[in-house]
Amino acid sequence: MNTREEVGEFTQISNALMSLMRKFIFKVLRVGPIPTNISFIMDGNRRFAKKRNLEGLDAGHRAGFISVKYILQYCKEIGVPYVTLYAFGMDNFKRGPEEVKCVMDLMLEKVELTIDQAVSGNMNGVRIIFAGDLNSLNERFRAATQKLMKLTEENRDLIVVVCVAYSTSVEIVHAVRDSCVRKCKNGDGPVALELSDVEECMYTSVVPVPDLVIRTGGGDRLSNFMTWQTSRSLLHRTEALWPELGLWHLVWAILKFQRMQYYLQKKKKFH
Amino acid sequence: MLSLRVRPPTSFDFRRFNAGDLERRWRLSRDCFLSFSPKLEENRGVRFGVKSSKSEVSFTAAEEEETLPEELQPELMPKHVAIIMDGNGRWAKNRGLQPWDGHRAGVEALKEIVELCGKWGIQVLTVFAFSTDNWIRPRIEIDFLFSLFERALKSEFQNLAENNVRISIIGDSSKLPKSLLRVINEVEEVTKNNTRLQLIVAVGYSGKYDVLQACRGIAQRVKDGEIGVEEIDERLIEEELETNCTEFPYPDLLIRTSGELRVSNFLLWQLAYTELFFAQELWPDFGRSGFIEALTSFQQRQRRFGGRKS
Repeated sequence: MNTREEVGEFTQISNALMSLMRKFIFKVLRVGPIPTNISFIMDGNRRFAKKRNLEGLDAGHRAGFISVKYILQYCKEIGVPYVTLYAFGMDNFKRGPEEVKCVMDLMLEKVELTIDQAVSGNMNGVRIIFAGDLNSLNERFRAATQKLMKLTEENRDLIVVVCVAYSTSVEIVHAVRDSCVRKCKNGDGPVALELSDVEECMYTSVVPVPDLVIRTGGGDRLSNFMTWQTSRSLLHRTEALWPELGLWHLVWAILKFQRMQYYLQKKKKFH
Repeated sequence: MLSLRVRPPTSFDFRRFNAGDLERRWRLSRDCFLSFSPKLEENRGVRFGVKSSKSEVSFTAAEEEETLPEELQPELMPKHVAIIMDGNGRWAKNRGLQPWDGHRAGVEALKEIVELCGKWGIQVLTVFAFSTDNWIRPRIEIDFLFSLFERALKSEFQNLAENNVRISIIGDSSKLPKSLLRVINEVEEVTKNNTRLQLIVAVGYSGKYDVLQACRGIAQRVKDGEIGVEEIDERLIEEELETNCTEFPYPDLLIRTSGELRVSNFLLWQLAYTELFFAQELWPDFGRSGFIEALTSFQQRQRRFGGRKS
């Protein structure tokens, strides 16, 4: 996902060197297990804007989007197959209407930008899926998300699930409704309802469960994000705000995951 | 993680275990202030030296109500605390003991925490005693755990009933031994009107199982024509979950001991906005100081529930 910028020669050389360094680091990381699905709770955008005295209601979120691009690039280079991002939760609608509108407009702008990239063939094999109660979004946004999902359907290198208007409570209610309808239609008794039936109806059923959850912004809670799917995942939190999240935080989180994996495998064998 | 103070493996002795706890408290500077006050000293003396080796949960007189440590503010206390009591096996292994000694030590630690919750105005305490995933443990350990649970219930329930504690058990009770089920029903029945503290013990429980059985209950109601599919909403699911036995089903604080950074299928729906606290100590070592640390951390957090604090 490259932006079309004019870069000078020095910048080009330094970018190439950085990319070479990253290749070495990631090669070392790949010796151990890599999480199949990393999910990010992207908290701290507004605090970042305040800290850096940035103007504008969405300044922090714009900085957050730049961070998203970098993190996705690193994940792709490491070879993580799935990435989940918590972009906007159902409970975030409780915020001030101007802020909500601002964030929605920003997301729409970025989605349309990504559509242009997809159309011009610049997606680098990234597939985007939107998960959540998409019917609660405005018409234009919904149409844009459908279009982007369709355009990137064939890509397989990195699958990104963007959770918009998402919350586990809403997801479970929706899954219960769907599975009820299914079972009652088939004439089966409700006791025939199995865990797999409910899980099939979840918004995020297309991707495997997250192995690693990284929460930025210092908070230590799940905020109604994939509490069902993350019951066995490693919960990693960092004090860094989302726009400050860099390569080293990601590498550290994956190393922690690898250390835990070894212990978990031992536990599984023992039991 | 190994505890830094390695005790030589000896036969299990409650008094010794408790004495080590006292020593640790004396070292903590914030507790030193409290431990010099004569009232508390006397109470501690009663708990550790003079009584018989089987320590009992005691909520002593009203004077103890004010023993909230100075770093905790009464208005910011959580209403519902959930605890995953992890680390009994490792604790026993570190001391060269058998796993059941670890579980016994775990029960003692739980008694201490229950007592503290009652004194400090926490209204609901949920503990994760036995998960559906624990069924793969060796049969002898499972049998021991259930018999320990039965014994603890029988010996403590009189005490807890007198102290106005309500006990509820949640989880899939179909695989539990009959004698344990009898004791559970009896205890729940006798204590159901108590109001000071509600102790919810999750046995044979898993978050996914809870949501699934709520789902089945709702599906049955839809099939019976009691409700329409469109009427299924969050409130309905909340009513069907096993935590409907309490007024505060959503924990404010979840504590997991032994340094593991996972939720392990405990209280899924209810953990939406719960503050998580991961303690490094193993459960039998957790005790009062660990609990104070967890509560202090909780009180310093800014909870926004998705909104914005301007």
